[in-house]
Amino acid sequence: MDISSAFPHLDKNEQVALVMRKHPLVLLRMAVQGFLMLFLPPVLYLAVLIFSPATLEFPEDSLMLYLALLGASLYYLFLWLFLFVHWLEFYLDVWVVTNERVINVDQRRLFSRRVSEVRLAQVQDITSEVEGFLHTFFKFGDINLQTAAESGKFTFKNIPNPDNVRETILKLMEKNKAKQ
Amino acid sequence: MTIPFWILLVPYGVIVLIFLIISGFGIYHSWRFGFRTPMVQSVMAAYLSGAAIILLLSIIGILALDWSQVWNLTANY
Repeated sequence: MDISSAFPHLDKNEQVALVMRKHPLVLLRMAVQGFLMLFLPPVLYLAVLIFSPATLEFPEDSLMLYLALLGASLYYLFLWLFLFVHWLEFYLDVWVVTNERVINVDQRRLFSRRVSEVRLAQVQDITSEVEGFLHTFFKFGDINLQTAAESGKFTFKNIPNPDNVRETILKLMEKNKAKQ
Repeated sequence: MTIPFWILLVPYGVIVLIFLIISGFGIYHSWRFGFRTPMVQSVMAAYLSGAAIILLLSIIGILALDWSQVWNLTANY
């Protein structure tokens, strides 16, 4: 996987071991919300048509028709944008584990992004946590990295297969330690 | 006092412009910070196509209406 465009500052000898994102189930929840919102205006229209048809009896040149058209247009444009921004936040929120360090890119909102990293040599403790029915069933959970640095604790939420990831990071830490 | 219907197109145009700016920033953001993979390109293409379809349908709807009409605020409905 070419990640040079996303992380141009990686060292020459640095090898990427893992690139992780949140479990797709997180994205699925947003997709379901978006899908339901897609059908909200026609459902509301049908409800009014069934329960209060008189409300919709206005002449063709009524201002209501013009407002409804512009409102529907803006509603669907921004619903589309909402889905896109959520996908962006999911896609750009990424964890990269190399043989030297762990990089956490936290894409909070479209205009808010934080990149933090910790050297494997600084990691003191690593724990994985799977809690809840869905998390257990779909095998995703959190990983906590306790570091010696001032930043303290790194938490990666809703990562797929957190136990495997913890094992991989532990192995990388051991290799890193042996190299030093 | 009368207000022409086409006045509604001004705030509509401003909001569409905001939509275009945010979309442009999002596309730039994904390209700048994302991984340049076929998947990202596919999502970009899908997003741009969807937005173009919504805008095209909106323009067709807008053109079908007579915007030269006026809204009479003093009329007794």
